[in-house]
Amino acid sequence: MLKKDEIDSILETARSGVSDFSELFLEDREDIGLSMSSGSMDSATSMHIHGAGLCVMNGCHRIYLHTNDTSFSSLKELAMKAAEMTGAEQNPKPRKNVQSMNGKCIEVPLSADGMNRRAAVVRDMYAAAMATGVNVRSLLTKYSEEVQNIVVANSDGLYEEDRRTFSHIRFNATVEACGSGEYDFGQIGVPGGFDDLMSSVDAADAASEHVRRMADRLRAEPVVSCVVPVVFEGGAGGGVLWHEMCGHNLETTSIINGTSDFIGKIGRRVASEKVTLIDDGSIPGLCGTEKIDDEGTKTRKNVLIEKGILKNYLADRFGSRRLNVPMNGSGRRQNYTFAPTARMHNTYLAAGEDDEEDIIRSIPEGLYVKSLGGGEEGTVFSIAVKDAFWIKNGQIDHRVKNLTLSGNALEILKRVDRVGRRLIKDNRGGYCGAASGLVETTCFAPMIRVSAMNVAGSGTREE
Amino acid sequence: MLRNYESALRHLPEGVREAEINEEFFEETTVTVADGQIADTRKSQSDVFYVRTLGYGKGYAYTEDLTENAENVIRRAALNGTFQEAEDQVGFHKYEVPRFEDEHCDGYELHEMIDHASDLANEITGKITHSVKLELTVRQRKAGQRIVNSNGFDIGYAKPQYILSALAGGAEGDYVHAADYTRSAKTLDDFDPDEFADSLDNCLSRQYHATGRLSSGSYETVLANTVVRNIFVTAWQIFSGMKALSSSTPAAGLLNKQIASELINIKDIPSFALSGFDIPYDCEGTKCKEADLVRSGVLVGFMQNLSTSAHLSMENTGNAGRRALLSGSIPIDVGVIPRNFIIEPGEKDPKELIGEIDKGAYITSSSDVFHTIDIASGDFNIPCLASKIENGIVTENCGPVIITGNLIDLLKNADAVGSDLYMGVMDELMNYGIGVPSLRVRDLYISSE
Repeated sequence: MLKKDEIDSILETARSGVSDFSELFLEDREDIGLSMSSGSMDSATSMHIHGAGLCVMNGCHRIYLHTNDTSFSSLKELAMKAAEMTGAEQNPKPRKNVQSMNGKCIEVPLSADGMNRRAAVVRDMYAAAMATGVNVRSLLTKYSEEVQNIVVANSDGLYEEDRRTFSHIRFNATVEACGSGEYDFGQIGVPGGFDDLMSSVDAADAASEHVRRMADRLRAEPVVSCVVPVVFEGGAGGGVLWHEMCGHNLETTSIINGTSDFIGKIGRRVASEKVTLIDDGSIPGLCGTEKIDDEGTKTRKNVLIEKGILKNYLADRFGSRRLNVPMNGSGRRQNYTFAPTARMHNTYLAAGEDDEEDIIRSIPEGLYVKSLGGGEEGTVFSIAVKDAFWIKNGQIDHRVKNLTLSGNALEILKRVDRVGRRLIKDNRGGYCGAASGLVETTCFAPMIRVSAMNVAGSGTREE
Repeated sequence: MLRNYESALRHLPEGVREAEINEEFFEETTVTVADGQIADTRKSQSDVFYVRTLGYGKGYAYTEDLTENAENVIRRAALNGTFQEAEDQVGFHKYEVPRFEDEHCDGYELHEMIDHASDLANEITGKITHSVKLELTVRQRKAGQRIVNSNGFDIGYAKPQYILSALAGGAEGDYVHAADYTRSAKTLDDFDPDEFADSLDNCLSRQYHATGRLSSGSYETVLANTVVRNIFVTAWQIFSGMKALSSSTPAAGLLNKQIASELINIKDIPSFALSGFDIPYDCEGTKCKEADLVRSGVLVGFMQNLSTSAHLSMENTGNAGRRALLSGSIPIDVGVIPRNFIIEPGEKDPKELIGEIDKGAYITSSSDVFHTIDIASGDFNIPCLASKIENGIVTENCGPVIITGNLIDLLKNADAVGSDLYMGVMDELMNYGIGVPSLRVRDLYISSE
């Protein structure tokens, strides 16, 4: 456990080179996991992640070092390396004192009874999924829980601690129906422990629902690729669209490396007037919520696009320096082995004024998307569609399958021409991957209509 | 630190029959040059421990805390093992003569790496025909592992490797075009700036002035080697022994059957001249062997570890590993991962592959292969960028399209294999190589806006 004066000493040594800022990030995290496959409990694991990340900045140049040896001597040596890397000076600059580090490292207190309760949930999920009557070729059900303790201290006098707890259930299944098979995974998590998760979700029900939906999808009809209007159901169903279509491209990393269509467009119209897009890391109870980001900055509501006008990027400290934009509590990382970068927390589209039934009725022929899979951002984004239905003559008709949506963000944003009145917050978040690793995020939206989107399907025809 | 574990292995807790410690360690330096300036410099070191026990069941634990008592970690793994019900108690390796392969490497000092990175960035930028922002990252790593167990087994190695990643972005009006290219090598001098510039330039050139239109339909298609690499970053799992065991690969039940065209030969090998990944032992201590997967289009094997090879009654190829795909947590169970996954090159360069097509498509860039390939069925819908081929020449750039099909059909319909082997890297984890050439495929369905 590091003492106050030891942290002071490390930060001061790190800043003794040519630098104007130093920051120490300490992490101690315990994870447990239980999983079942092929009819029996096959794995129980426990993980202890422990280490430190040291960041030094000089203007727009950053140096980042990390180690899992958190002894004072090792971190002091790391700090000296950092100073060397910037070019050491003789006289360290004066800095403010930090408060003493609490340094509590909480152990995951799993008694045999605690593990048994969790194992019972894993077994119940497995049994429920296998009892659906669906032809399940392979199935894995899993429970996992993590408790992360962090301390962030920097040369500006900041000292913050945070303790974050997450628990998840997960099911990976391969299902067969109508002569074909599909692999898919589902995950539900909460920012809390086992009891928090169990009070918010029926795990067995969720697992059986997952395999039933997979079988329903296999029985659905393929679609011939086309360009049609697309309605996205409210909730997490359409949320992923905003995450992939614009979220990553509004992170300062993408702006800096020149791969975002939003470069140089702050203050300009980038979307229809119906679009107000927000990222907020402070909403209570959501998986993407944190008291502070991983640079110690308090999380907040960030309005990214307001009535179609680009207002802000998501900015971490380094991105803020390089682009000369304000930091806004978006510096995140998977763990201490990553330098933080600007990342999303909970991303959502603000509610609009259109009636949901009218939105569906407005479509003579098109697509109704209930849920999306993962996707990838880029100058052309793409998203896998999980659950969708064809709309015919203003009514939801038959289920369809094997679809991918893609497009250019700037074009699609301008085609959002209806936004529903009800915003449904949805905690079915997941892991989002980028330069600073995998972090928990959520994304949700009201029902929306996009006037035309490129739909790629597995149905084929000769032209 | 491993000394404490070696001592603990001699006094196993009650109920533990065998125990194994896998120590992974590395030292790494990374330099990023952006817009001609050094933007980011990193140094890191790591020494972590994976523990497995056999007894009541197979138990796992992992720690990065160097102060944690070794006996407690083993006890933690053993306790976790009591929850395992599966019959998989395939034992660990028996005693062999201890050995440690340490490939000595002085490595480059930081200022030398900065000089190399700056020089490479200048050269590559100078050779690209478009005006771009280039971000170049050079990574120097000395990494290894040691596997010891309660049977007296003690094997390890440490090897150097280098990875160079380039990301280029250029603007066309309101829109941005981007291209990336990553290679691994055994020394910094092995990186060829011409190779980087050619690939980035080719990919970018196919994005500008994308005014052409490709009607939806089936085409004879050339997939650039970077696109094939993207596909196989996910598709290598077809050949995983773990997937074969759970029948969640389209190759399940097809051993010794034709699953690809006769031109296709695929293997996974521990070391390759064009790759920085030189892996003599897997994470269970098995000596890594060359794994023949497809010979003249016939499926002849899978990548295996101790457990999968025992259950499938096949040879253990030394493909045990843990970090194969992106994961929110660190996977502790032992799975199967590639070392250097290779589709053997053919004899025709991409120009020749294209030159033999009257009317077709050239796919030069693809994205999001994690979510657009269903590895159980092999079905895919992959977003790409396409150009038209007319009378053997690439004519118009057509912008975004989606290629649709099945991985096994793709391999069966390959009617030519390029000579341009690209030895890429699994980008996010950077712990194995994927080496593939361009492929020409007849009847690939392409849908466009």
